[in-house]
Amino acid sequence: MAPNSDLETVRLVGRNVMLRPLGQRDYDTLYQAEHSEALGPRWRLQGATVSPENYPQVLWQGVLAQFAVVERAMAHPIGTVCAYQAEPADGYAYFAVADLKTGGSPTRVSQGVFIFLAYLFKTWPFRKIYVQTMEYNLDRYRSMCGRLLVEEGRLREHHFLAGRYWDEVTLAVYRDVWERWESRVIAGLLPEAAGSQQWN
Amino acid sequence: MELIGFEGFAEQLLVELELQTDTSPNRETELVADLGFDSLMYAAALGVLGVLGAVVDDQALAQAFTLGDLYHLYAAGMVESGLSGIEAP
Repeated sequence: MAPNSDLETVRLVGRNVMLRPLGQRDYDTLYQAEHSEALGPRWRLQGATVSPENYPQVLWQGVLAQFAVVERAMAHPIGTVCAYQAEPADGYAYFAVADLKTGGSPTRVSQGVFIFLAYLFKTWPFRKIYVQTMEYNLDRYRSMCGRLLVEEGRLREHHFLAGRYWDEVTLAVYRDVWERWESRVIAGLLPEAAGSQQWN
Repeated sequence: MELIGFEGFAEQLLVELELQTDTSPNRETELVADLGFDSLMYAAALGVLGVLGAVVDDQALAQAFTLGDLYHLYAAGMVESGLSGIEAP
């Protein structure tokens, strides 16, 4: 094995999706999505609006790493993944995903989530990655709760939306659990999986 | 990698994904209703299929509703990958 071969395990490209940097060409798409009826109240701005001029500051505030999830051979984002509020001294960061509901394969944004978590754990010595989500978005993570994700905290009736208060839930992915899943499960989403094709 | 039978496939899939069923898993076991699949779990299942050596179209995966459907995709994906020893027609 070549001395630097470990570096090749830091991947942004999967078999079906890849993560690419967010650029100015994406800002209008994200701005529209973030202010849409379907996503706006449930996402970062929680129903508030920001000016197009200030949107890039909102988009990048507190961010450690952020990418667009794109499908093979397609340039437009189907989702975004983001790590923010990183605390290197304490070994944690927060993670967020947005599914832009572009109507493609429903698993592809989720594939992007796994590739991004692999990227975070490979690139920084995080002990755990937190997911902070409102109760109404918890279904996004339901199948992984008690498996890859563990609930670490809950602020009861924390946030108001649609006539009622909802819990805010903090989930966590621990490095040791992640590494178990990465070798047995996530590795199969990457190009070196048997028979898979490299990106052109 | 050799093609494994349905029972071995189902057992390995459930172990890797840390899933449990009230009854013995069979080809009619429903992914969503019985196993709680959502888009993250579908993506994880795709990963398991890849680790097992199968090349599976993730668009086709969205049409898998039962463990039997998943096994069918796995078996076809092993032929596609050329790893099963079975030649594609």
